[in-house]
Amino acid sequence: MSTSANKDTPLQTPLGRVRGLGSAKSGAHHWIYQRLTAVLLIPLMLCLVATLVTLPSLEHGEAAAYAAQPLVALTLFFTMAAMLYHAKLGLTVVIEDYVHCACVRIGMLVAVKILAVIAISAVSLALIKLVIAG
Amino acid sequence: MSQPNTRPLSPHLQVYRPQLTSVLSISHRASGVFLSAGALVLSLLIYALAFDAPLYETVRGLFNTTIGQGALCLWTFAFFYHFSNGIRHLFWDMGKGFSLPNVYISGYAVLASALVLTTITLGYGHYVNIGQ
Repeated sequence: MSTSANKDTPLQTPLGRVRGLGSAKSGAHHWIYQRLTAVLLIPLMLCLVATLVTLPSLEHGEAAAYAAQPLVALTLFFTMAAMLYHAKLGLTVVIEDYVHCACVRIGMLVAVKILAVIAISAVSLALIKLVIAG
Repeated sequence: MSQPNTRPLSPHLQVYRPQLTSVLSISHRASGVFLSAGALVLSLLIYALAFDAPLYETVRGLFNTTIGQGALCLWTFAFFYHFSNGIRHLFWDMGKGFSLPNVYISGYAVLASALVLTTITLGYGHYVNIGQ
């Protein structure tokens, strides 16, 4: 069958030739989490948009009181976490594809990661405060 | 690998006539980048809601300017476009809808869905604002 491919290393089995050259066993998780967050965001984002459009007022007092309800805060937390993680994964791919200068690319990749962490931390802290104070 | 490659690289995008497929594809990325900025603004708004009421009202005020309203409209359309095209991508990930006719049908369906959902949302939002 594949005699020509084996000509150079006749004593090596096909398995031996590919061992160590394949999957690092962690490369797929970006792809999987991009899709997982996408699916989660379908109901979460529809819920967020519907809420923003139908709330009678987005003035500070009313909005804070609404977000202070535990279930609302929890849903908002999951929405923002999935959204920011989805955005971080997407921006990472875009930067890897289009930014060719290595130093700029690495800087931007780190900046995206840090910004996402700062944003979700700020959101978490804010929601905890709203729920406890409200 | 280590030597700089000076030969021209393929694909030469500039020689292609823009097609529905390629335009929708790059728009998915462009809308995603634009929406990421929206995610940051939303995070800032939630932070301000809890810790900085004047900042919250300032940002809300910015959204009531003409530019702010325009940005909101663009964000709404970008969201529903990315949302609809994202569902199209999820079907592709399941191996469905790859034939050329289906790719065009789903492409036009995504555009129609994005326009309709944007119109409904903005129309309802506008209606609610007038009602206040």
